[in-house]
Amino acid sequence: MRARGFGERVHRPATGWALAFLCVAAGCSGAGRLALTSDDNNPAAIARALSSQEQRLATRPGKGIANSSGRPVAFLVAQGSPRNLIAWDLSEGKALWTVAADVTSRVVVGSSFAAYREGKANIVAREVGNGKVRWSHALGARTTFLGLAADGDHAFYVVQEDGARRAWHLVALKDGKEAWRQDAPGTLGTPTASGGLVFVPFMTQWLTIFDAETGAQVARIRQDDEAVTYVRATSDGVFYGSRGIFLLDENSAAGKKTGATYGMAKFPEFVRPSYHFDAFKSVQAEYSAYDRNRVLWRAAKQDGRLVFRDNTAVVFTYRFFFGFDAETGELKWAHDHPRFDVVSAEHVGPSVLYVSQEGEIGALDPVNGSRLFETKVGSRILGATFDADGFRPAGASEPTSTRAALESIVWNKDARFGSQKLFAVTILGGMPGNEVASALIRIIGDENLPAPVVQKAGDLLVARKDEGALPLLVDALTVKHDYITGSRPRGVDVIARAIAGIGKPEAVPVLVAVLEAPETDPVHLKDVVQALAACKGSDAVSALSKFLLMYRADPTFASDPAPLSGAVDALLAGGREAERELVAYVEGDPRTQPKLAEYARRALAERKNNGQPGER
Amino acid sequence: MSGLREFVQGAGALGLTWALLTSPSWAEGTGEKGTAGASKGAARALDPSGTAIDVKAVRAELFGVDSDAAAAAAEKLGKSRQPGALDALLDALSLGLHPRVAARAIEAVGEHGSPSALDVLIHYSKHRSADVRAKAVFALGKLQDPRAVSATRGAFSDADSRVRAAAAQVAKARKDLPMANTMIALLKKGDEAMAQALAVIATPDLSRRVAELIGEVPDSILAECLGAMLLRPDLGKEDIYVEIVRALGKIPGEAPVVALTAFLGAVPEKSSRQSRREAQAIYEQRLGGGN
Repeated sequence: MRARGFGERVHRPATGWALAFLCVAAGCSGAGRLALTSDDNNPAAIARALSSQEQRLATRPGKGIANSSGRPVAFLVAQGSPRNLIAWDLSEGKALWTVAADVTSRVVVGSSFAAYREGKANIVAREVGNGKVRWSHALGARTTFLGLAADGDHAFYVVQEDGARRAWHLVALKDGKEAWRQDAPGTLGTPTASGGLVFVPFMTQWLTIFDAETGAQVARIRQDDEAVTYVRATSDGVFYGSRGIFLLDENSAAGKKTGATYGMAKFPEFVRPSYHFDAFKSVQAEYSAYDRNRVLWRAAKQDGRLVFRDNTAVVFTYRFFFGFDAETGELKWAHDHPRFDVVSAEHVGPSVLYVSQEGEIGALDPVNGSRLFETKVGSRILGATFDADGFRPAGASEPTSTRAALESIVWNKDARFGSQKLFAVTILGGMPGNEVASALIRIIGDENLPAPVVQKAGDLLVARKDEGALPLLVDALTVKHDYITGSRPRGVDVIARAIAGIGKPEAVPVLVAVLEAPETDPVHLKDVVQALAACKGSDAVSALSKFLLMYRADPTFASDPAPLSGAVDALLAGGREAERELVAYVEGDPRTQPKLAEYARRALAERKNNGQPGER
Repeated sequence: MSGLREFVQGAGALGLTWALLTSPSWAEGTGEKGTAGASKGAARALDPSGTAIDVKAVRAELFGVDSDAAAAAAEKLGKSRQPGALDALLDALSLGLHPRVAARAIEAVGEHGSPSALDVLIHYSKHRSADVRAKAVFALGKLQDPRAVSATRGAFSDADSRVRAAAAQVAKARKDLPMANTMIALLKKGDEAMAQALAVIATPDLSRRVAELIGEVPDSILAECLGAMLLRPDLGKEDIYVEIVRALGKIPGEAPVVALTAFLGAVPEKSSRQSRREAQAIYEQRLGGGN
């Protein structure tokens, strides 16, 4: 297939001509129609397109900032009736302007305007400098809006025609008038525009690239082994894909992951990575919950492969930011935004910008998660677009503690965050130090936390076998049951198992107290007995002996004599004749509960045969 | 049994168990610690009720598998002051009993009021059966040892009301004023057992404090407590009684009327006491529908 040059139109069928005629009558410059067959994966065409884009971007005042002032601006959609649109100057920390506007899409930014869908029927562009309406464009009736983009003095939108026969249109606007359009026989996704090019996912299989000025298709990627559901342009390049990230470069011509500049970050199980908004879902053309659950990343080509900036991919979920090592999936840092959900966040390179529903706007250092700044805009915010590529606020970052952030996530009272809490406690449990042990002890004692989180904390506490934490474990069991104050030791079984793993006699007195306390849950007694057995010492033997004698005839333990059986094992394990005789007495006395007597009988026999305790 | 004795001495568990186990007669299941060598006649000495028992035989019943017979044996041994009777009870408890038998045995031990029972009773004051604990606390209340006092005071924190009631009984008997705050805390939690005990230990100041608990303590319990205070002739000056009567007058419901009725019945009709006059006025107002 012959490579098609810049400005050349794709095949235009008869219906396309009709549309073109209507378009010309309406004052637009031309129309085309996307075809299923085309000059796909042409490396020369891709190279020419990228070269052209690079040249145009080089002339911008702010390299990655779309507005021509080069000033980093956040466009915030504030709650209200009607809603407000706020242009917030990030470098000055103040509003440039605020206007009432019924914004119902993401805001996109051109060189001198910010555009958005207003209500359901119009695209409106406002001056970046003062917020005044520059132009308004009526969307066709019976259409589904799929997204908007801007670049230079053009805006681009995609709509799906909802008539009897569905069709999709990419429409370019200049000064509010239709400059050109491309019609498609299949689904078109939200466009992205940058450096004089428009990038549009087509039927999830293609990434089509148009000349922003003329609407000519300049290149097209056909992706064979991964759907194309997004395209994202940053100052580092243009990226597309779905499950992973393709960098648009000459290697894209491969049409497959192998050969392309492709990568994906490694994440723990709870993360279902969303690298960008799904271009084919109309709901994601607006600010929505999808903005609050996604991966924030920057990437570039390095040594022929796609690498994540700072080797970090940031998972953003509601209030929490987790910085992961993109190669290993290990957590590098965590940040918990207090109290309120963050509604929009963007990785702009040197910082991660965010805004919360309560109008807290700030930035994190993507390297370590520390907060670089935060201020309040004074409005409740629904969503935001950050035209701030390359922005990093001046000043030093605040110190941060990943441990504290993880702990804070665990204690968050919001019931939505079960998986995040589970992840946080898992990472927390792997960290060293008594602060962590103390946190785990508190977690296992909190009945309001989700059961899997408490279970995990307990497992991790036991697995630590941390001798340094023994005083903390002992302290936790020192709390007495008290009807008057309502106090009681928490997580007795888990703490007992943790102490058993350490096995030091210092814990014997408190274990004895717990063993003897009538309020101790019977299901925890087995663990307490085993902990005493592990800690050893004469006091432990004495306590276990008394326990065994006191309850051997008690029908409470008739069906489940496990704690008493454990005492039998512990006493026999010492290998002393005195304890053996005691067990023999228990076994032989007719008042002893039958199951326990039988257990003691087997244990004694086994010990006689091979010196081992009875089977459990 | 030398090995078992060694265990007993080395491990230092329940003292009486070890004593029992070191007794030559233990191996026969009829231990008579402290009576070794004593004559059978001595073992048959009269108990306070004038009935002699065969301690050895009763002990064997206590150690038997029949719970009813064991419980009856425990009762007999509690009444007996014959040598070996108390030891039999303590030995049996030390080696472990069915909880129902243990409760009777502890009651029986309590009847002896012997300091030698201290360790066993303290141990059983932590038994998993609330009934057993309550009996142990009550028995400990008869001992003056500081450890016994500490154990009975600790029982106020028990989760089971029967055990707390036993602690209150002991505090009442001992006039254990330092436990007043604890008892007030329990009164606030609605623990009925505290009402009478608190009334018995109350001083004039404590009475005033209790009288101010209207709204913090369930009405019926507070009325019962204040009513019991009114019936005490030794509470203090007349103005204390007047304050209590007035406090009862502020408590809604029937319980304060019952308390005032009891007070009016206990004080002669012709008494010139202001507290009686005011109690009478409140009583008539309540009965007249002025509640």
